[in-house]
Amino acid sequence: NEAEEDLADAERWENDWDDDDVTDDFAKQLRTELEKVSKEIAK
Amino acid sequence: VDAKKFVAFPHFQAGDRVTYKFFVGRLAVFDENFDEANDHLSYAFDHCHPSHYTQRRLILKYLVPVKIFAKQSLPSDALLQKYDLAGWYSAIKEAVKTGSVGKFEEALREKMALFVQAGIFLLMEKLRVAVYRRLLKRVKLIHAEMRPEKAVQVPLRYFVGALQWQGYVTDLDEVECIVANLIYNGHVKGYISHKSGVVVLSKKEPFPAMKIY
Repeated sequence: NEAEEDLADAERWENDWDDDDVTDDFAKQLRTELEKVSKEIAK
Repeated sequence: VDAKKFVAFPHFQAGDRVTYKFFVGRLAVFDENFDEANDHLSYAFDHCHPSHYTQRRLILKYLVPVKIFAKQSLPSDALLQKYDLAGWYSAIKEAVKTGSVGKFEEALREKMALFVQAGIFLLMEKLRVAVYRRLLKRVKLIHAEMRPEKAVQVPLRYFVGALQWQGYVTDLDEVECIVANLIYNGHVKGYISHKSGVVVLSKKEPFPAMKIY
């Protein structure tokens, strides 16, 4: 059966990646950097 | 290629239809006609029998960037692994997804020979805009959490900091230019207040669905 051999279309592509989530490692590090900038600006 | 339709398309053998769609799709890629390219290459991929792994992999090499441009769809890790294309696209995908400009530049440098040979280097380079847009969006989201009362007014210095942290040598002038281009090309809705050094983002849909080209 062909369908079983291959991934379903929904499993092939990610469509909802452009979300508002900022909890991954990159975003956490980014937040640390932005906090530094924020302190600089406040000086 | 499709100047003269002497026999109706469905009358050709399945294998020939796949080959035809693959080449027409590739032509559309070079013409930067991504919606058309997506139709042709998706057809070729879907109608190429799964047992023809090498052919499917070849189609996918072009379909992956086309999907990003036409549909804003990123390839799943499972897909990249199944077709042994993680070495081609994983780092680029991560960069687009997270907004990592540093990772994007590194991946582009590392994969340059591969992309040039496949004729898609200039195409991949265009994704830089998508990475900038994504980074600015995330800067805005974090800034909004830090200073909710000024959620839509993002100081450009934040964006400078975000880029410099990733090893990007830049300054306020260049960042203003990058953001102005994002606004001009419709990737970001808002305006720059040069005097106060902030980008004021639209309250409604400040980051419209990504259309890179």
